[in-house]
Amino acid sequence: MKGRVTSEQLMLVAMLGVSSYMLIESFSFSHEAGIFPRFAAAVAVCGCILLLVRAYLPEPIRQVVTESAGMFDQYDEEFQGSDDDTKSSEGEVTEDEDTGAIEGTDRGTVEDGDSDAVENADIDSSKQAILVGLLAGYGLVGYVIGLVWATPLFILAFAKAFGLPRLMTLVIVVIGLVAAFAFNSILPVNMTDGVIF
Amino acid sequence: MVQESLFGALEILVTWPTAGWLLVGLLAGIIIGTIPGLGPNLGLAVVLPLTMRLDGPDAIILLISIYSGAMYGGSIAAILINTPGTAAAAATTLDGYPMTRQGRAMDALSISATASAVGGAFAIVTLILLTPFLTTIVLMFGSPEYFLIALFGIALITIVAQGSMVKGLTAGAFGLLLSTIGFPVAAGQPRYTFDTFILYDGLDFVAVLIGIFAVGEMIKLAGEKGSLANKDLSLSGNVLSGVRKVLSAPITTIKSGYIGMFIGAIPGSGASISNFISYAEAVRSGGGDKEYGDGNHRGVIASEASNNGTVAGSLIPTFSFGIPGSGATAILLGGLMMHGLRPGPELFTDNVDITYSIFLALLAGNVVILLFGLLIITRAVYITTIDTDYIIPVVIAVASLGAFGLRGSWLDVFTVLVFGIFGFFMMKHNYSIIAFVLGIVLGPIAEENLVRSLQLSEGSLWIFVNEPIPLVLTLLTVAVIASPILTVIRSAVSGGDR
Amino acid sequence: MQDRRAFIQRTVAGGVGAASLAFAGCLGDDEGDGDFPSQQFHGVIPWGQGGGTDIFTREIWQEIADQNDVSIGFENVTGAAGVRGITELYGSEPDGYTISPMNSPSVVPLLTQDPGFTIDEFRHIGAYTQTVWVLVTDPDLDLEEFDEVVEAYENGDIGSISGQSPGEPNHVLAESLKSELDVPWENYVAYDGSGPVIQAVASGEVSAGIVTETAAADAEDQIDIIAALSSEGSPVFPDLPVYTDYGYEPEIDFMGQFLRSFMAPPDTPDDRIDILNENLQEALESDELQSWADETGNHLEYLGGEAEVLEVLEENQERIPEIIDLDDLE
Repeated sequence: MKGRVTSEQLMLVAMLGVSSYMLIESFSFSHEAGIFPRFAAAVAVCGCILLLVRAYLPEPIRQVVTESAGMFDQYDEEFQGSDDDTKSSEGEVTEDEDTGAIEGTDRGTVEDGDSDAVENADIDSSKQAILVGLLAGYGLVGYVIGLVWATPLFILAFAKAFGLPRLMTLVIVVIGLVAAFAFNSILPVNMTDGVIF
Repeated sequence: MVQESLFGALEILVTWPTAGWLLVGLLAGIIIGTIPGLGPNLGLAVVLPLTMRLDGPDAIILLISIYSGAMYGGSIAAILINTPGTAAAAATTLDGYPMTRQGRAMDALSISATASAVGGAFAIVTLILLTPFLTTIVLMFGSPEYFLIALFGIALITIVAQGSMVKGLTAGAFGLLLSTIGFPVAAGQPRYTFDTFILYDGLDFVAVLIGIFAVGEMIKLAGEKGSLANKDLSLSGNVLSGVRKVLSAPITTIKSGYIGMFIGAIPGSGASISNFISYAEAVRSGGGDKEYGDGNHRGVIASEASNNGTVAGSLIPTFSFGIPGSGATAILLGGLMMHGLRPGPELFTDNVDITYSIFLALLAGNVVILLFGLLIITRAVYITTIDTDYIIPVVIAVASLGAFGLRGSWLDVFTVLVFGIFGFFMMKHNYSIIAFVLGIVLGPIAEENLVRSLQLSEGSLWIFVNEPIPLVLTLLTVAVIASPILTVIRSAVSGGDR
Repeated sequence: MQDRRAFIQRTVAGGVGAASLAFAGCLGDDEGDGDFPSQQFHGVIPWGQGGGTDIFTREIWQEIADQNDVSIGFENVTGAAGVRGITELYGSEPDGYTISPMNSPSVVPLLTQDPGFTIDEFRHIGAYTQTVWVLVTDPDLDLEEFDEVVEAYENGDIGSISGQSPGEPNHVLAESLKSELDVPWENYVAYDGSGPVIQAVASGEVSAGIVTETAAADAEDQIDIIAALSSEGSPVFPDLPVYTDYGYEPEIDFMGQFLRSFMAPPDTPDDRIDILNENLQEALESDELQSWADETGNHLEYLGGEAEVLEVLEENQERIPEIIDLDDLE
């Protein structure tokens, strides 16, 4: 577990990459076109960096970075199920979360451990990973052969991966096909052709 | 004079087949609104050519009823499966969907129908009263005011972003940044397009919203077992308790209706923005109410009352200057012109009968929404007892198909899928989604009007404080930003004393 | 199979109304040149639904389709300032059944975005109307004549002029006012459409603006309409002075009015273009379209075939890069 890269860090690195690229690129624009993206990119880059290195920040700054200042927590209650959530929904205890997290020098590990624990109890993250893979496949196959034809394939693959009973598989494949053809016929775009076929 | 015109308008409205088109439009709108990806824009776009053969008033009433119906319809999927049927209902997911998870879907649905109808009705009645002064009011707002209103919305990020201020600001800035992709109106130079025209018009924020809310939630659900409504909870709530909840929160309802109307009147904004602003305002005025985001019925009221109020508001610039407030009103404007009704002062003088009949149609439409929503839509709660494994693939398929339908662009399909994954991780790690969304929807309006204001003032910031309206807006924004920062500083200074 | 699928798709794109008719078209698949047009038309509209170009195209081509007893399906392929739709037309079958509207200022995005083809490769069916740009001012300024406006700019009494995004025709016009007619405005302020320009002028946010004559007509009471920017004058305001009345040479006419026309993919055979051209002329003179134009305050008139359209487009293509720096838009 120690030293493992968390998915949050991956997300932040991705955001940092995009923001940095857009920041650098913004200097090639005219003043008027560049100023706004430059400002937004600068804030995003700083934010991402702060969040990535927050475990190593000196105490007062770290506290500002992680301190809860808004008025409500969105999603976390139902999302994180137990641990994190209990803390932040009790609001004033958030600080515990921070301190607790940072005290274990490698904050990532502690947090990771926490959320893993949660996931093991309630959430099957392997299924989530499978779905992410299926999504990528759906997009690519759709791009190649057209969304109308990719839709039943995606639903079939999903049903296989998630072990759905045969009858229900048939039902949702039919629903997907009907939806695909209905969209294709109502909307003024062509969904039956992909880029290659 | 006004009375006479109103009677004339009523006559237009109650004659057959006009009344029939009203009903057809509303029902079609509700259905279109329910299906993710098929927002009012697409619905209107598909129907517009078909209205070519109708009489002017019939065509406009049909179109506007679709618009109004879709605004309400968007809430249904938002509440039941966290999938905003339209961008205008995205904020409805924030509290509506948690209500569903708690087995209170019936409550949420009846709240949505009631709030939509009441908020919409207040806005329309106000619009009718204001009709003679609309042109004057519109002229009071220009680029600096629009910028400051957008800035105020962006400043609300500091209020709605909880968990960590830095996380919220980062998410918001990232949203703002992504909104700069494409060709900016005021600055006139394509950005981040990689010299392809697929990115020339930027990311479609409707696709972003569908991805973040719908697909993101589906990924999350994939890791869970059971149905949408937590299995250990029985389905509770009933139609009337929802109505009562709205009536017991009259201030939230009416205020949200007016916020929707006001935001709707800003060119380029529309309901996709008003529902978030209204929601954020409800959170702000709700003080430290922790329940927001966790099934607070006021959250649903704020979002739903505002998006129907927006319909009335968006007609103000459309009718007075031919400025479409949103994609849907752009098409509506086309409908007007197709039938020889040109926007401008004539719509408030010579053609005021028709204008009033459109307004009255909206009012009548809200009654239909109320009845239909309470009596029929509330039965849809049974969807929440279905195993999520059956819902997930269907929602993802419909969301992707709808995204492709937006512009026939693959970019939008990939946007939905990529932002679905991004949204999932944002939720998982407590990054404020609403901050991100505020950034991406307000970015273009803020930027366009900022650049223009500075062009007008030749670079001086004085333009934002030298008149009463900008000054008030600036002060409001400063107040919003200052309060949480003060809180952070105070708590940082006091350390662990709390 | 492929073709049939695409064909059915197009049918459906035409909307429910067209669907039944199209089935008939499907059966009569024999395609001799003698009976062109005998199949369904496909209109690719590079701009959004409800816009001026969209409405013109639908009205006119519905009439042409009706005259030939065939159906028509429309598809709005929007984006990239029209280039996406024009590109789609470029790649379409050159059989005379697929057509698009074209507005002469759209040569600008084609020049800046460089999609790999030029506008003169297309076949042009004919022009159906032209729209004249007018200069409007804030009524509080009490400016009545074009030379008064020029003077106000020269004295520094006013400084701003407004129009749409850089590269849009009213921006090019503003630049040509400066470079060709020496009107020394200071800052150009861009708005998202004619409506917002008019609002800004009416409220005094900007001193002057350049809008189409039809847009100006809608707001006649709130703005001062100063002059037509085409020496041929404005059909909507026949009494309005034109800029050449004030001693200027007709230097900006190429931008001061824009030509609306229809075009077909490159290599569409001559005989089909000729037939479509005749159909267009006939439709424009029909009672249906003329009464529609009267009702809606639009003007429809056949303004020439391929040669005339190309002349205008090529002049635009040549002159615009002289007026504005296209590199700024890339």
